[in-house]
Parts: sequence; structure tokens; C-alpha cells
Amino acid sequence: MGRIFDIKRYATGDGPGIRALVFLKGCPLACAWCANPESQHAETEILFYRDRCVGCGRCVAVCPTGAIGLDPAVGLTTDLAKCTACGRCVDACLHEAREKVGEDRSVDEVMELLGRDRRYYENSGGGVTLTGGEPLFQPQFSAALLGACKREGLHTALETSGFADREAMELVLEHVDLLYYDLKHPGPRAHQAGTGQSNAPVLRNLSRIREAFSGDLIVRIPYVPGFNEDPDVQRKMIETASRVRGIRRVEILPYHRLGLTKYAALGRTCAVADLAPVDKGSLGGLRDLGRRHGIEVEIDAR
Amino acid sequence: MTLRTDRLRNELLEARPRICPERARFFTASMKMTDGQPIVKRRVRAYGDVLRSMSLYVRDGELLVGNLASTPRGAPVFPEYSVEWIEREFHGDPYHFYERPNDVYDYDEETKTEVLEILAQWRGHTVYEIVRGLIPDAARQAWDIGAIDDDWVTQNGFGNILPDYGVLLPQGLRGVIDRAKARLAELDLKQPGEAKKQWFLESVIAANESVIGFAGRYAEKLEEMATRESDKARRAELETMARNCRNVPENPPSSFWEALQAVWFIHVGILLETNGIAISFGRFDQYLWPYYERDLASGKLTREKALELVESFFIKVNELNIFRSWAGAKFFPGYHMAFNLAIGGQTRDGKDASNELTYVVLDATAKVAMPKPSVSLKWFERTPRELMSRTLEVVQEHSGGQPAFYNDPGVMRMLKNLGVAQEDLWNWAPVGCIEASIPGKWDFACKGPRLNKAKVLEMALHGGKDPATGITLLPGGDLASFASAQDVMDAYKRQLHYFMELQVMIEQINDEVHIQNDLNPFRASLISDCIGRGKDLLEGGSIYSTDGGPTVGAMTAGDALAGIETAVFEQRWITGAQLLHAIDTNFEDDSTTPTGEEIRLLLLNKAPKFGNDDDRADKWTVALTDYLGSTYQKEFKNSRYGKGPVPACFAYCQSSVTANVAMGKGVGALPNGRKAGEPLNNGVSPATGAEKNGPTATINSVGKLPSIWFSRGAIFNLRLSPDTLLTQAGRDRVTALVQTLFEKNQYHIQFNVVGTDTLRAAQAHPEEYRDLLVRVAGYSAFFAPLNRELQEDIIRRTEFDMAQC
Repeated sequence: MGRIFDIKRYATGDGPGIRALVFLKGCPLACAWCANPESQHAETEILFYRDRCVGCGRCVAVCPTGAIGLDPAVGLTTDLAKCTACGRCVDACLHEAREKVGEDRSVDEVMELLGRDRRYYENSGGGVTLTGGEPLFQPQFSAALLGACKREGLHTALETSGFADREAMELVLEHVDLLYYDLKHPGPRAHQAGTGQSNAPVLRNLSRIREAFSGDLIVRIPYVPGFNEDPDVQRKMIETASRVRGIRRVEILPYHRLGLTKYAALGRTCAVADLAPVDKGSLGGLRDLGRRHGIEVEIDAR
Repeated sequence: MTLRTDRLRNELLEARPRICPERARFFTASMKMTDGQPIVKRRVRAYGDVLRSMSLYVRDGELLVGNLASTPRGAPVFPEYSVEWIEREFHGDPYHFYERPNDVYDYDEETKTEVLEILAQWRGHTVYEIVRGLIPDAARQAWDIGAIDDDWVTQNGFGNILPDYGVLLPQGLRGVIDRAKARLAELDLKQPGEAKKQWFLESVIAANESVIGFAGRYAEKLEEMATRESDKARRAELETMARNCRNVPENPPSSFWEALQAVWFIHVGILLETNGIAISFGRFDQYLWPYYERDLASGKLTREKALELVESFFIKVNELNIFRSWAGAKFFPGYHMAFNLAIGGQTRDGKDASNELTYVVLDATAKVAMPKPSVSLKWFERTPRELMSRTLEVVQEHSGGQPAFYNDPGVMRMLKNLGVAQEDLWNWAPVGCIEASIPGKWDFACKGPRLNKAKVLEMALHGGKDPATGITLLPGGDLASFASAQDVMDAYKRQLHYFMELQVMIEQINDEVHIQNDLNPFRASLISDCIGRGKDLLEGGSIYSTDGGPTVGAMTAGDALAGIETAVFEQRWITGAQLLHAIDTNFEDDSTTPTGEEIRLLLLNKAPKFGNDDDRADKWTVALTDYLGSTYQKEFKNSRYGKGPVPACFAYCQSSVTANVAMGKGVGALPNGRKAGEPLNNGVSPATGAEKNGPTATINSVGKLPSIWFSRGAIFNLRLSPDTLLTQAGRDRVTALVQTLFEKNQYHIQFNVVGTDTLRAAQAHPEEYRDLLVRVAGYSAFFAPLNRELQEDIIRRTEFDMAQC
């Protein structure tokens, strides 16, 4: 079984053609700018969109642990200590104000769903992309799912932070055609501060990637003001990427704020909530930087 | 686009449609003199008088001539079909023509007086009044309830004709006349029935001579204009145009330019004989190709000049207009005339048929970017990727959803099932909004009363009673009494069958009335084998024949059935009686538990819906569609059965046009959470807002439909976010969507690519967006002049969000 929080059936930004995007839940990193905060925790969670709530109380009535309360000042509240994420409140809600994220699915179940769109993948040269969260955080499941895709002749892609055991990486990469590998910061301290983890495994895994993986490789760099927008920092990462043998290109993903409503729905605050979205037009210099290192840099391929 | 095309286009955008009394004037005067004679002879004489007498215009700079009315976008009056609505609307009921919410017409007092005088002479004798007087009471009530509706083919002539220009052009109308003369000489007038054939064939000859004479009048006018023209270049053009009109449509065209002029005269000739819409152009890039190729090889023509000529042709198409009732304009807004024009597809031996002219047509579609004609690409497995890509670029540039995409092998499979001969299959072309036809061999690709499938469901849930009028036609159990979802379905099928029977009865009567009042030898002479058989289309002259009016609302009905199954029989949230009360009170009774609004939200958000690849919902739509398709085709014969054509049955049509909005207004709340009066689903597209899993899931749902019954068309609208088609990768992905849909044997798909922001801006500032096109249903229309409800329906049709596409 794997814990999945979403499957998008017509994804177009993470690999060629028409693709299914399988989102695995749980990530060892905790990036401050994460656009999918519901992907971070391994546990199943309930999102609550306060602006859609009409305060009818149907969820309060069905909650078996009394976790949902009504505070006259702010409306509904959830005591996370009591919530078991059973999802009954989601079923009860008539206004789509609640969403359950995180379902345990077998490889066969996921393959059944992917099989429904098989002809779209084949006709468009597309396939399946695993993303997260961190797919390497569930290595057995990811390897089994991607292996099943390969047996079905589907093109596979994987998006990873690179923060994983060597063994997990090798286990999964065996079944991957296209790898998206994130670089976030070259400095150990800054990386630790921004993502909650050391970048040592990320850099080590990348430097040895070709021992385990011979497919297409694209390095992705999130461009986050206040974290890694320093030209020197960007240069170092592009340099690092350019040293990987046979790398296809670097993709710069400028910070955006589309995840903010989900932080609110999770009852969390985003550490960089005040950060303005990046103007893509200002990043042309990175393309020139790439050219000087003999590597193509694409801004926001999505 | 050349400066000339640009100017002609701008003038047309400025031109206000006007009521033109000329056709009614000359036609009526002639008919008064021939009372008592055979109808075919009377009408052909009147037709000749119209073509001899009506005023001609030649617009400054135009390259093709031939007008339907005295002004560009002028709308001729055909009083023989219906007068009542014209009289009413002249008196402001429900609107004056010039102040309608859409489809306005201007006129001066003189015209109004003249037209009213003419109408008075027709009162009591029009096709519409005669039909209404003859149909059974139940059919009239069903019509008044809005379960069925035959206005469109009783207030106007029959349409949906497709001549075979590939056969016509090389022989010219002289060839048609010669054939009729030869056939006439063979008649043995001692034999029964031959007298009628004689009248018909003589009328064929007279009609074709009249059209040739019409072209001759233009030749004279152009010659005279040339002598007065001071600009040398324009004078040379006028002289060429005069020569063109001397040669065609009588004789085979000697150039590409003449071939276009010949098609144009025949098209206008058909439209002046009767005002039936959807007269289509067929496989334009195929039958014009020999002329294009020859002229290019000889140096007479360049690609640029050819493009200008095709642009000029497209401009002419947009000069045509129809005078339509307000009731009709709600169904077909935007002065819609459904002139379909096909490109691509395959050759007789299964090769890719596309050529350079295919791309010229695409360029003209993008550059002229007006509502007419409806350009359609026939796709098959050997359609080049380059052609798909260019066509999708044009979808973006045109913005109004043109071209639309048709499944060539899929439609061939449906036509074969219908009984079309193997050797004719490859050459099919879409007619009107969408319906498949064989060029020059089919009578009416679409004809017959509309059926409102959601209204019939509403009645089935109410024991056969229409809640709005209280009328019960076929009593039965109601929603409170059904023991299972299948019981509901069975009751629904029983009601559907009843209303299909009424549809068929009305159309049999309609046809008999037309046979007595509305035979049209010109267009009949263009369809095989009317001349051979000496018969009009309605008498059984064509090779192929079907009836079957557009039906509306299958997906809305299927979702309602899924809602009943989920809420009443599976989850048991509420009883059938509670649900019945909830829809009767439009989900507004908040004294019940759960409240009406809670029931609506349960149905809307918690019950499965068609369009999400969810069998719990899709199975109902599939079953309903299969029932309707097989019943029409297997149980009901049309009036031509046994008279020559095959299969001469009814067939299932899902070309809703915008009837989903107009018909939705008359339907109360339904168990899919839809409130009273809201639009129904469009064509075979999911109900608005129902699809939530992206386009592959939507296409998978549509792909489950039993398309073997869909030869009369199934419109599928998919809205894409506005930037989808801007990149090659995006166009390749959409190509894969089209290909996969068509591998599932489905009929058609078209794309709306205008963003919500743009549409909202156009609502706020219509004057700045006067040439913004949108795909309405089987055709395109300017967005700004549409009425507000329709604008809202177009905006609400699901736009897959940016992240999805």
C-alpha cells in the first residue's frame, strides 16, 4: 500500500505528453515555501476551507471524537489532537468545505485508474509521473508502482528532492525513464534553515546519480526570494547541475503563492506568507548563466 | 488578409440586418396568378419571377457576386411558411424586431406596411397554420408543453441539403437541364403517375434556367459597371467577373475563380427557393482542388490570389441572413444558418485527401474569423500531424471554435450501420450543425420535431403530468411510488416512447402538407436520383433519407437518474416522496428535514455525474442513449419509406444547438441538483459544472456512449484554457485527446478557447469586442450580441483550470 493524496489525470507540466500525476504523501523536508503543504505530513489530514463553510454544523454532529467545535468568534474549530482523520465530516459536508488528503491505495488500484487513460498517454507520448511529497519516502510502493507501469509499457517520470537513502534511490530509479531532481541551496546551513534538513545527502546522491540511473535527467531549482535568489547561490547550483553527465537541462521554478489557501485549510501558517510572487521576466539572466556553463536553463517549464 | 478583404469585413461588421420585402413581394404576386395549378409548377414560376425581378448589388471591391436580399445581411421574407409571428413581432409582441435581446432586424415603415399587406394574403394558408390545424390534440399539447417542438421545420422550409459539387461543377446546370430533358423525352404519359413526373421535370428545367438567367443579370450589370469604372485594375476585375457570370453556373468552370462563383450561385439559388437553413458546402478542398491545381500550374493563379478569393467567398457567406422568429432565435441565436464546409478526410482509396487548398481554407478561416461558414475537419488515422497542428492553431486564431473535428472512420461506421452503401461512405460530409450526409444523395440530413428529454423525465417523475401546465398525456406512477431506480427508468422509457410517437406523427403530417404546398425543383434537381425518378425530395427522389429532429438533455436526465438512485435507493438519504416534494418546491422549502437546499447540495455534490468516468452515473446516460438511438432507427419509418430512398427511418440526433438553454427554461427542478429554468446539458457534453476530473475522464465518459446510433450527430464541446493551443506541445496533447475520443468511435469534438476574463470583459464593453467569436453549439457566433442567459451558459461551460491544461 502507498499513501497517496491526489492523482491528477491530465497533467501537462511534469514530463512529455499527457500524464497522470501521482502525488505521494509525506516528505522528509519541510520547505518554508512548499506549494503543497498537504503533502508534507505522512499522516492523513483533513483540509478545511473556512470561506466555503456556512456553519451548518453537520460535521460537528457526525464527528465521533468530538474534535470539531463551534467557536462563536471564529466559526468551526478542529482539535487536531482528537481528530483521527476518519473523513466522516468530509462526507457530511454539503458545501465542499472539507477535503480528506491521504488515502492508502494498492498498486493494483492505482494501476486500474491509470489504465483508464492509457490511450491518451500512448497517443501523446506521455505517461505517469510520481511526485509528492517525496516518492522516495515510500520507496517500496514507488518502486512497485513504477515497475508495474514499466511492465505496461508506460513512460515513467519521478520528481524527487534527492533527500533519500542510497538504497531507496536505487530501488526506485531502476523503473524511471525521466528524473526531475531538485536542488534548493548549495550551502549546508541555509539548506537546513529553509528545508529543515541537511543538503549533504542531496548533493552526494546527485554526484553519484549516474551510477544508478541512465535515463533522462532534469535538475529543478525553486527560485525563492530571501532564500536562494543570490546570484552566487544560483551560479553554484547551475554549476553543480552542469557537472552531472548527460543532464538535459535545468528548470527554474519561480516561487508562487498558489499554495497559501491550503496552509489556511490545514490550520497552519506559511513561513513565507508575505513573500511576493516572482516576476518570471526578471529571471532571463539565469538563462545566460546556463549558457556560460554549457547547459540549457528554462524558466518555469510548467 | 488583404486590405480589400479587411474593408469588406469591416463594412459587414457595421451592417445592420434589415428585413427585405423583395422576395415576398415577387413570390406572392406570382402565386396569386397561378392558384389551382400543380404546386411544383406554381412555385417554380414564382421562383423565376423572383430571380428575374429582385434587385442586385455588387459591393465595391468584391470578387464574387450573388445576393439573397437587397442589402448585405438583409433577410428575405418567406410568407408561405408562417406569418403569425411576423405580424405579432411587428406589433412589439414580445419585442419589436429592432429591440430584441439578440438577432435584431431593422426596417422602415414602408417595408413594414408592405410586408404586413403580403402576410395578410397568406394568413390561413401557411404551412405552419395548416400543420398546426391537422395534428392530433395530444401532439399540439406536447408541443405547447415544450416536450417536443416543431417550430423550426414548420415556420420555415426544410433544409440540411448537401449538393455534390464534385459532380455538378464539371457538368454545369446545363448538364442538369439536359438530363431532365432526356428523362422527360422518355416519359410515357399514358402510364399512371407520369403526368406528375412531367410537371416535376419541366419545373426542374425552368428552375435551372432561372438560376442561369440570374447569373446572366449579374453579367449584364458587371459589364455595365466595367464601362463606367475609371480604375483600370478594378475595371479588369469587373470584366473578368462578368465573363465568369456568363459562363457559370451554366457551364463547367474554366478557372478556380469561376468554380467559386458557380458554387456561390447554386448556393444562393437554393436559399432563394426556400428558406430552409443548413444548406452546406461539403468537401470544399476536394471538389475545388482540380481548378486550383490547374490554375496554379498554368500560372493563372497564385496561392495568395486563391486565398483572397476564398476570403471573398467567406465574406459572401456572412452576407447571407435569415428572417427568424424570436422563438426561433432563442434556439438558433446569432443569425445562425449552419452552412457547414468540410476539409480533410480521405480519398476514395483511403489515402489522406488534404492538399494545399486545405491550408488555404484554414488560412481564410483564421483571417476572416467570422461566424460563417462552419468549417469542419474530417480526421482519420492518416490525417497528417502537421494538418492537425495547423487546424488547432486556427481554432485559437478564429477563437469561435472553428474548425470543429469529425471522426471520419467513426461516422463511416455509423452510416454503414444505417444502410449507406460501401462505395459512398468515404465521401460523407457534415451538414448544418453536425449531421452526416452523402453529397448529392441525401434528402434532409436533419428534419423533425425537437425532443426535450429532460422535460419528458420531469413528466415521468410526476406520473405523466407536466407540473407547469397540469397537462397529463400518458398517466403513470410518480417518484413517490417507484420501488427501484430501474422502475424510474422504465417509466421514463415509456414516456419517451410516447413522445417519440408524437414526434413521428407530427412529421408524417408535416411532410404531407409540404408535398401539397412546398415542392422545390431546383434543389431537388441537385440531389440524385430526383431527376431519374421524376420526384421531389419529399416524394422519395433521393438515394438516402432519414428524419429525426435534435434531441436535448440526455446527460442532465442521466445525472438526474443517478441522483435518484443514489439519494433514494442506495444511500437512502431521503424517500422518493421527499425528493418529489423537494423538486416541486425548487429546493426552496426549508421547513423539511433535510431542507430543500440540503437535498439540492446532496444531489449536486454527493451523487455521481456524467463526465467523470464514473460508471455509477455514466450507465444511465448510456442506457438512455441506447434506448433512444435504437428505437428511432428500428421502430419508426419516415414518409419516404417504400418510395425509393433508404433507410427512410428516423434517426437519433443530439445536435442541441442552443436549445439546451431555451428548453431548460421550461423544465422544473431535477434530481441532479439543477434548479428550475437552468440550462440543460449541451449535445453529449456533460451538464455544466458536472465534470471535475479533467478532460481525459470527460472523454472517457463520452466514449462509453453507444455511438453506433449517432449518424445524425452528437455535439461535444470541450473548453480549453486560453493558452493551451499556443505551444506545439499543447497542440500535440489536444491532438491526442481528439485521437483518443475518436478511437472510442465518437462523432465530434469542438473547442472553446476564449478565457472567462475575456468573456466577462466583452459583457462589460460589448463595443470593444464586437468581433469576438465563441463556439455556441454546432456553429460560431459573435459573443457580444447574444442575450445574457446564453452568454452566461457559455461562460459556465467548464473551463479546465490552468493547472489542468
